[in-house]
Order: sequence, then structure tokens, then C-alpha cells
Amino acid sequence: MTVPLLAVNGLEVCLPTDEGDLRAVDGLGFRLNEGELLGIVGESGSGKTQAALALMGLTPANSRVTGSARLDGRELIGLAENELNALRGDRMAMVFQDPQAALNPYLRIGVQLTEVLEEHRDLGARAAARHASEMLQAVGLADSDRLMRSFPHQLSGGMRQRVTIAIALLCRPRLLIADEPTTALDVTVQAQILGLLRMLKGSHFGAGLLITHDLGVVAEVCDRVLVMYGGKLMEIAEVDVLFHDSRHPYTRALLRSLPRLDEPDAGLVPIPGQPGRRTGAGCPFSARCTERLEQCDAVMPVDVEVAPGHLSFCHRSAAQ
Amino acid sequence: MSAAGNPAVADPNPERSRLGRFGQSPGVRVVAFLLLAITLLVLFGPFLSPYAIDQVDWQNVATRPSFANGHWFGTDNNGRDLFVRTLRGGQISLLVGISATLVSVIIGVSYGAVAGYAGGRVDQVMMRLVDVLYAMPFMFFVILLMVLFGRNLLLMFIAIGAINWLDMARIVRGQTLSLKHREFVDAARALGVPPAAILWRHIVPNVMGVVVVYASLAVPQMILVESFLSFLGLGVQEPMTSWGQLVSLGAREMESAPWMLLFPASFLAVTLYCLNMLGDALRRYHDVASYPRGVR
Repeated sequence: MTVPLLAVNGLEVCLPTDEGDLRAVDGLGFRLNEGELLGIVGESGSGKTQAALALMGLTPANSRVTGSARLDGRELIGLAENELNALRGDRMAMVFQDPQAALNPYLRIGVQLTEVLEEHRDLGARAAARHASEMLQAVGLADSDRLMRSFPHQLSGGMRQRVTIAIALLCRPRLLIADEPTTALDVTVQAQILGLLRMLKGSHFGAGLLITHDLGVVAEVCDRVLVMYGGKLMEIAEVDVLFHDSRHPYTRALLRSLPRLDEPDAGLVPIPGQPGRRTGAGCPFSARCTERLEQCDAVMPVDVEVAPGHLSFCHRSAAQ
Repeated sequence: MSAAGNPAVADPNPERSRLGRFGQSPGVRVVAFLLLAITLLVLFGPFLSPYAIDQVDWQNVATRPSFANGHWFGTDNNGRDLFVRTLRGGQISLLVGISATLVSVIIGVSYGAVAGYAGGRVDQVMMRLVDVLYAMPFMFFVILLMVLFGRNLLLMFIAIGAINWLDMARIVRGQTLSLKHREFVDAARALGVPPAAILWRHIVPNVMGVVVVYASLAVPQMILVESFLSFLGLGVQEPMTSWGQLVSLGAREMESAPWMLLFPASFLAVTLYCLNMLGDALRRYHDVASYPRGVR
């Protein structure tokens, strides 16, 4: 079997709080193959963003990250800051949720683009500027030379997000992590950015992780989906399989809570309760689960391979 | 309601309109004009007079201002032309004010930004050192330096500036603490930008607004410190002079030759007033500018 582009095993992120350690990510494991776009979905606080930050080495200074994540066979967890800096922006890059906040308000767009090339590529100022300008055009910003001289506040939200995507792609990273790239944008702009992501997937050189709480976005662009809850992996499957043949009660509850155009009278079924802190050793979703079994509170279910490539972490899946 | 009087009508270009408002305030304009006039006069005025700074006119010792003999501001009790001395003294005062501020900006910004960005124990140690220095009687410190190393203009810039950087370091550290958790710093880190480059390229430009405001208020403070040192006789060396020194000499002859006090003192007072007003206007302007959408 070939080495996957990214192999994550037993990833844990511990955040110390006043009430003891909080396991934001708890034993996450998955593989990401060449040319693939994997969606990570889950409610707020399910640990999606912390998992991504852990891969980038950007978790808060007081957090503890353990486990393993190998990018092209190279271990990422536990790297020193300068080793990480050599990889970040070059081999792996990240697009943030709010493009307004992710761009420095006092620097021209051009400076923020060429900065990456200066750090990772031995390019002269002119070559870097030309490269940056080409990248802006590649993400659909035609008037790139004028844009390079603009400040972030002079751009629209969609343009800003295109700029941050261009920055992330400048060094052609193997792994692109997008953390809710469409959440801060309005719907028409979301569609444009999704179109851009789909286009990138066709031409891309590595693989991507798309973190979102919007299942619609996942259905649009992703190949596979990973569902997280309470820091744990709940279910992972191909997009079509997950939407039509989900085996996990949490995934099904998420899908039921979506509005559907083909069944307008079906109504929405919200998931009862609030995502809370996990107590005990059992499944984190057990308190809210409508299909709870006896052992759910006490024992965390192991993965059940429902079908090749489709894993579900539920006692019910095991019973079937 | 007319559009002009309605604050809800958005200006198409908020940046420009704010800058415009800053310049349109009549007080600011007057003050800026006065400062410019004083600066030009101080720089080029001495060339208008036939006298040199150290030239003694034995016919006119401690004479009152007169157009007939060319001593427009009169002479001092050594027979030196007060017009030239006031303006040349102004050169020194302004130079000290600006250079000492620059020294304090350079030290304060780098120190505060490093402390704030490093955080944790490094920050604690660095800022406790600032607290310790704050506790030192700083005038005493400057006087000691002047006595030990002699009266040296360069030393004076450094001594005054090096003591005034403490405030600057505290301000910049506070700003850096809040800036380093902004998302664009994380975004820069996610691109592999090393800490030194993040500080220099991302943090420092963002604190410059506050720094400029503070520096504009520090310039008059520095001029005042220099005047005080000169008044004590620890300032610049004769025949060079400064406003503080001239005021000190003039104060002694206040009753017999009031012009010796009047001219340098008015220049000093007007300049300080203008600089303070300008700094204050900048501060008010910046308060608005730091909240671009009225939220956050």
C-alpha cells in the first residue's frame, strides 16, 4: 500500500482549563490520499479547528499535543518552531475563517503575498511580485497589479478570501487546510469560493482538509467526510455513502436537522440538548443520543468497518 | 433631514474623510501653521541677521530691541545679539526634543514589542526591569550622567531619550499583547513566517499609530527636560545655547533687561503649546481611527 499524503494516528489536544484538562481532540485518526478533499464536520466545539491547528503546530502555547501526524511520511507533531516554519506555508498552508481578520490591515496585499515567497523561495522582489500576481489571477482576481497595491479594507469579502487562498497556494503546498473558509461570507460569494475550491481540486498537487459545519458545503466539494463530536471521530465515509447510508446516530441526527428542498414539509428535527463536556469513559454523544444503548455511557465504542472505507464508532453499528 | 447632518449616511471613503476632518479643524490648522513658521524661522532666521551667535558688540551691551542697530531682539549682558541666540537656541531645543523622542521610540518600541510578543517569563522579567527603572529618580540620573561625562549634546539626547522609553515600552507591550492573538498573526505563523519577521512586519506597523501620538506628546516633554537641565546649568556648552539656557540667563536680568527673558520664553511657550495641541489632536484623531467601523 502506498504511503498516504497525510496519516493521522491517535491525535490528542489537551487544553488546560480551571476545571482540569479539556481534551479538545481525543484520539483522532484518519488518512488523506493524494488529490483528495476531506471534509471535517461537527458542531461548534467538536474539536475540528483544534485538530487542524494541531497539524499546523498552531495550538495555544499551554496546550499539549500528542499522537502522530505524518505528512508525506514526515512526523509533524513535536517539531520545533523553526522546523515547523520551514514546512508551514511551503508544504502545508491554512486558509482561515474570517479573511478580514486574517489579513494585516496595515500592509498592502502585495507585501502579504510576497512575504511567503521571501520566506520559502529564494526569489527576487520582482520575480516574487510576478509570481504573486499570477496566483491572484489563478484564483480569479483579474486586476491583479492594482490589487497588489491595495490595502485589505479596499477589497470586498469575497476578494479578500480569494487573496488569502492565493497566499496559501503560493508555494504549492502538499496539504491545504481550509478552516470554515465560507462561513464569514454571504451566500453568493460562498458559491464563488466553493467553485474556486472545486477548480483547485481538479488542478491541485496535493490534498485538502475542509473544516466546516455546513453539510451542504461538504456535499458540494468533498470526496470523503469525517464527522467529529466531543473531540472524537464518529464516522468517516465517502460523501455519497455518508449522506445516504449513514450508520451513526449523530450523523443521522445532523442530517435530519438540515432543511431539505425535496421534502419541504418534512420539517427540521433538531438534536436535543447542548453539546456539553464529556463525562465518563463512554461515547461523548450518549447523553443526547436517541438510540442509546446500555453500554454507551460506560464504554467508548471501537470502530466498526461498515463497508470498505466506511467507519462508524457506534455500538449500534457493531450490533447490526 | 439633510444628508450632511445625518450621521447614518455613510461616507464613500471613511479614511479620507477622517483625515480631512483632522486637517479641517481650525485649531489644528493654526497650530500647525505656527509650528511650521517657528521651525522655518529657527532654521533660516539666523542668516537674516548680520551678527553671529558668539559675536560681541561692545557698543551695545544689554541694549533694548532696536531696528536701528540691527539687534531686533536686543542684546544680552555680554553684548551678543539675542535674535540670533534665540533662534540658534531654538535649533538646539527642537533638535533635542526630536532626537530624544526618536531614541525613546526606537528603544521603547523594540523593547515593548519583544516583551509583549515573547510573553510568559521573558515578558515578566523585562517588564519588572522597567518597573525598577521607573522607581529611579530620573532627573537625578541625568544630572549624574552630565556631571560624570561632561556636558555633551549627544550624551544628552541619549540620556533623556533612554529614560523616557519606559512609558513607550509599556504602551507598545500592551498593544502587542492584544495584537499577537489577532488572526492575521496566526495566519502569518501558518505561513511559516519566523517570529522576528512577524514582529517587524506585522506587529510594529500596527502599533505605529499609537506610537506616533505618544511621540508627538513626548517632544514638548523632552524640550522641557532639556530646558530644565539648561536652567540648572547642565545643558549645552557656551557659546551654543538653548531656550532653557536663555530663559535662565534672562530670568536673572528680568528687572533691568526684560527682553532677555521675554523673547526666548515666548518662543518656548508658544512651541510647547503648539506641540501639545497637535499631539492632543492626533490622539483624538487616532481614537476614532482605531475603531474603523464603530464596533469591535
